Amino acid sequence: MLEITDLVAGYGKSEVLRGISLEVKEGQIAIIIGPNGAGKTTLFRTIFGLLPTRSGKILFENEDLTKMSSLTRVKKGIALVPQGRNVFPDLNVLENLEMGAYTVVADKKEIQARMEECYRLFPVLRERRIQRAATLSGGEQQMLVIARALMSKPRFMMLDEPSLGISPRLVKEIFKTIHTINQTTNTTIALVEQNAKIALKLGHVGYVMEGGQIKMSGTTHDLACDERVKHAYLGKRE
Amino acid sequence: MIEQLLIKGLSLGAIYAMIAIGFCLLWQSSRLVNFAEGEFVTIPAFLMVFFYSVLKLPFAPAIIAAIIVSAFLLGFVMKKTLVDALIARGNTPFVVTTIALGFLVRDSLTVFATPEALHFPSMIPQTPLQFGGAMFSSLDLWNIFVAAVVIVCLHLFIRKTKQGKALQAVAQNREAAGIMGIDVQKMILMAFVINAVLVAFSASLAAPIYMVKYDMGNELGLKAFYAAIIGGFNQVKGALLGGLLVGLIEIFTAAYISTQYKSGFVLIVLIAVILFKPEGILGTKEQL
Ligand SMILES: Nc1ncnc2c1ncn2[C@@H]1O[C@H](COP(=O)(O)OP(=O)(O)OP(=O)(O)O)[C@@H](O)[C@H]1O
Ligand SMILES: [Mg+2]
Repeated sequence: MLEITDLVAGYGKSEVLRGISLEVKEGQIAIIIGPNGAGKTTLFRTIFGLLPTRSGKILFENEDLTKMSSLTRVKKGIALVPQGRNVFPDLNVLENLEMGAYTVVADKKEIQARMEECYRLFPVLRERRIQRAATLSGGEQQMLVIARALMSKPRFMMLDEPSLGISPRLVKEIFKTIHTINQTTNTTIALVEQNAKIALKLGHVGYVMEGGQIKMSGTTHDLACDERVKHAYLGKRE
Repeated sequence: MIEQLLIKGLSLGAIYAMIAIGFCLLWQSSRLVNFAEGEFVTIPAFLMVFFYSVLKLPFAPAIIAAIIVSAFLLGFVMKKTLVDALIARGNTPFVVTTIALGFLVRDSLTVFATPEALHFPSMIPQTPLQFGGAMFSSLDLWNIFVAAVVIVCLHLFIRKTKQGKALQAVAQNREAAGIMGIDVQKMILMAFVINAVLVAFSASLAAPIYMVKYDMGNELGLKAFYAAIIGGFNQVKGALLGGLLVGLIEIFTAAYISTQYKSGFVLIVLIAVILFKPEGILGTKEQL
């Protein structure tokens, strides 16, 4: 579904991604782990088109994305859940969700149906639907951002550290929901996660990213058993 | 007496409020502060005189034509030229450029149009109206009415329509709006066009009171700027409140203290707000 070869991108003079190649097959959950500053967020931003590709290819269903705008990529079925709680603070939950469907569907009934699906996945959002997003807890905001991304019915969804700054109980719940989304709608998922231990349990394939390059890759099972990964990312918990 | 002053103050405040709201919308959507906002009022005022007195259009079409041309020039052309050229460099170059643009507009009008003050009639005849014991000017009531209609329409547009909500989304979180596939540049263009329409309405109300003159925007732009700061730069309702407050303060100061102190009093309130609630009365703190 997604095939990246030798991707190079960065900000201004600094080159952050230095030749990334990776592949995510349809229906899979791919996990990307790596230390702070490795370029994980930059990778997602480039795949989504918020940052221009300097060289290399991003193939999505055999179509090269590199020249397309973010808007076109959204329409092709790609969604991004950005790092941090990127809600629209003064819009209520309902309006936040509406914005998620903004460029993709106009039909009111269809939007309503998609909202119902979101509420089924995150029942708390239904209770909060006329509350301003800023009044939600951190975990609820994260759920809202994921639900908002789902409103475009993406076939490929990237999630950038959805567990950041959220209570362990909620992290579990969110990961369970991500699993459900993947299972029930066959949405292909790429997940950046600091919390390598539970992430590797969730995913099918994994990539270890360091200094703008892929240092290791394999099935999540293999990675979880690898000594170096254990040492660097699962170390303290073992 | 109080009622009369109240109406006069709200009438003046309504003119300021429309400009201040435009100002805020520009800031919210584009993070740019337009220092030529005063001249953005002067230009449609001159356009009205041009269409009415020079081209001899009937009154209402002249005003409508001025609003449309203003939306094109101050909205569309402004966005496609200065804004597009400067927005990537942040606010400071834009501020400097719009200060220069203000000079350019004033000087060009003096040279190519006229340094004299021009008369422009009001939309309705000015007659004193009596309600109970108090006398009101029909013009003041009309100003309040027009501004209220314009602001309510704007409010409904922003709150209820898809485009309006997208504009709010851009104002509240530009990055996330982009991720939704919302065309941020298009929303900024929309904000500039809305601002141009607001200032044109404001001009149509201000012109009969202030006379149409190359420097009429100095005072109006400054007061609208104060209003936006007092009410809260990042909230449309803040700009509305700020505008009305500035109008009321001016009228009450002029009546009870002295006309000469009216601007001074506004400044005192401005400084008090900056000291005690820098984000403005209704403004919210921004995490930049
Ligand atoms: N907007 C930016 N402008 C310039 N440099 C940036 C920008 N954003 C990130 N960088 C730099 O790019 C490098 C990679 O950052 P990135 O955010 O992609 O890392 P990350 O792997 O997502 O880290 P984290 O785990 O902390 O989220 C860092 O060195 C960072 O300083
Ligand atoms: Mg990151």
